[in-house]
Amino acid sequence: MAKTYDYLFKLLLIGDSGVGKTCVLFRFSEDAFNTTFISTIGIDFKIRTIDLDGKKIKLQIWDTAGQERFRTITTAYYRGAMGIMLVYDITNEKSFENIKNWIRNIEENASADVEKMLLGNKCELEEKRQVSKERGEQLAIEYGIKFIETSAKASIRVEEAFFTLARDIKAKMEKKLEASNPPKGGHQLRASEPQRKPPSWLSRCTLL
Amino acid sequence: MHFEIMDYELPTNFDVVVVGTGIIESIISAAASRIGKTVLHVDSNNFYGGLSSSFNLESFLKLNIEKRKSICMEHSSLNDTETFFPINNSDFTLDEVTHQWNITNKNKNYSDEENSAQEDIIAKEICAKKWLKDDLLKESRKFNIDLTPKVQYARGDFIELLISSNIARYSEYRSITRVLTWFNNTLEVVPCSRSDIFANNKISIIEKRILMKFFTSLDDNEDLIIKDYASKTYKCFLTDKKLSKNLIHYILYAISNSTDSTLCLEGIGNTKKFLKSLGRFGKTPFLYSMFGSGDLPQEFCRLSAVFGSVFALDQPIHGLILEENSFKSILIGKQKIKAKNFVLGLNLTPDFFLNKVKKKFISRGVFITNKSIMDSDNEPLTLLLYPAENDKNPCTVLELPWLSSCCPKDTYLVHISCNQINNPEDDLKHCVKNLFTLNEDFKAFKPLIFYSSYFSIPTNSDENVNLHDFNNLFICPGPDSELDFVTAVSKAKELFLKMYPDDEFLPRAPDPEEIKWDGDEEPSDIAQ
Repeated sequence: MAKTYDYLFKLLLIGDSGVGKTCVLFRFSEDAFNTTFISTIGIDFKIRTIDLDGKKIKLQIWDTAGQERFRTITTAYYRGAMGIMLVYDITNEKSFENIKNWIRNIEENASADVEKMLLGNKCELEEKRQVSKERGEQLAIEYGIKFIETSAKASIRVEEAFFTLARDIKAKMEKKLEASNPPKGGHQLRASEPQRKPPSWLSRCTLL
Repeated sequence: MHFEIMDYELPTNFDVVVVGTGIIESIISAAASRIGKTVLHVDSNNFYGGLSSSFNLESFLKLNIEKRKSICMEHSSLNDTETFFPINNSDFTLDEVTHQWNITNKNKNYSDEENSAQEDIIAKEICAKKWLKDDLLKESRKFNIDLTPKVQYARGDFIELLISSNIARYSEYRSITRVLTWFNNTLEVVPCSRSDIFANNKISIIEKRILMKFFTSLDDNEDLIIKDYASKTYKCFLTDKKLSKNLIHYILYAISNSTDSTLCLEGIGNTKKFLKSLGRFGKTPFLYSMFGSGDLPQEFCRLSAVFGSVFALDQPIHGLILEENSFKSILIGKQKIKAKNFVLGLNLTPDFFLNKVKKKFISRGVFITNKSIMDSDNEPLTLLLYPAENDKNPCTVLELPWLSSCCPKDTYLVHISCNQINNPEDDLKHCVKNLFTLNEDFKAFKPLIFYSSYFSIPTNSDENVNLHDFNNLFICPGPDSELDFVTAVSKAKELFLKMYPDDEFLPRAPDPEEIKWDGDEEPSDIAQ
């Protein structure tokens, strides 16, 4: 099957429960907003392919599947992630304070060169704001990462956020194409893998 | 993790509570969640996998001191009709753990301290494989050290389950590059594929014909074999087939992973399993999960979570509460959590249900070395099936290069396991001595050991469990000494079907694009 994209980026969403990670994901992948999927049942990841400087980039964006609630995200979740969106809720001080803990968690489990970005979500709820934009900016500067305030509900800057993250990953990747990338080329086991007849061990024997 | 305060209390009513995150518990958790049951999945450890877990080097070095304190519990929350069964909290019972470093922080070759820094750099450039202890510790996170390493047959039940349930999307695998055996005091490549057999210069043309004929005959004469060899050994069968000594060695000790006492039908079954798995993903029948075997239970936990299970690790799990002949709830911290069914890892099972049978152990060795046990052009993943010798059990040796994402570049991570006789170091001594050296100046071809560790893993089969007719308690055995997870899969399926006899065991999970979110309607493609 011909590849329909130039690059595949695995992105993760991370942050406290209820900050709107799934809503951000749906806004970006389906351009939809729906408050009924509060708990994220059945959602593993969503895919959207975007164009960046003439390259087709397939973004595979993974959701935490509720495992953030009691801080039990599996270490396997972080494998091979190239970008991470750290999401907090601007109307929830605690979710902002916990960003530091999530970053520590990322440092322990994700690849050292993973690209990170900070999102202050629910920016349409200005009247309920507990975290000023300046504090968000300040925290991002502290960690040397980019920052953006978004609203999944009002569809504000969600596109911009993912495009920025994707662009940064692409730039980083192209810069160190020959550097020591994590080993590639493991098997992804697919159901669509050609179903050869199993006991073909002898049928493929031509010499005896 | 470092979050100061737990923000939430656990919900208190479930269909199933699963205690422990070993492979069998995790498969059952995923299966129950997948058919729409509400599941609480907890562990008293702060990591996933229990004795099937993998660790980075730093955490691995701390393993021997991490025994958990037993938890006292207040009985005040019980009423008269309830009986309390405390959970056995010897849950993480690695035994006899030792760590030895064979390299120091200083480079021995340079006595002059002032120049050593600069010369170190030069030395590193000349010989890339010069490691100091600190260098390895700095790369700690690149290690994924399995407690219980597993390879999977490419057409074994575990891989088939990953594919049919769509859990395969969470993981990547590497093929084992070659299978070796130890024969006449030397390492030999076991011919796996047809081309291997023809390329092998240790087997004569006649032997090649006999071998090919033998493999064909396994499918043909099944009835006759069952009749004549039901109570005889596989070795006896192979000898009767007039196979030469070295062919018998390859088939018996490597291809069928058998011993002299393995029964004929079992040996034939193993041989067929090996042959069947050839050519699916690689030249050998075996696959190894990148980032270590410890990711495998986590992948089932992920699916379980995706379908709504609540996960909580590092939990103070006190015990089960029995009321009128069935278990009603479990005490976790100060919470009493109700459920219809309880699934427990054997090492977390109340002592009351365990007969006092002597525990069995697996002897384990872990080694970090500088090169492969057998030179190769590429960086091979090697499985060595080391036959029984004198009074020693057969050993399984798994050697992983950095491509497996289990160790840094220019090192190899080696796992050795066998069923325990005396103690780990003694059980594996002969194997280690034949494969490795500890002497840096020794100009041999053997790999140099930088670091070694020995420990014992309890292998808890469920033979010694007596459930006393309590029909809503399900006990999962601990790690086994099989190469793969075939027993784990069948045990998980058996327990799941006992719990939910009318439901499908892990039907295929939909791909994300198959799930349609239409306005406020419920998604159609997920279990009810």
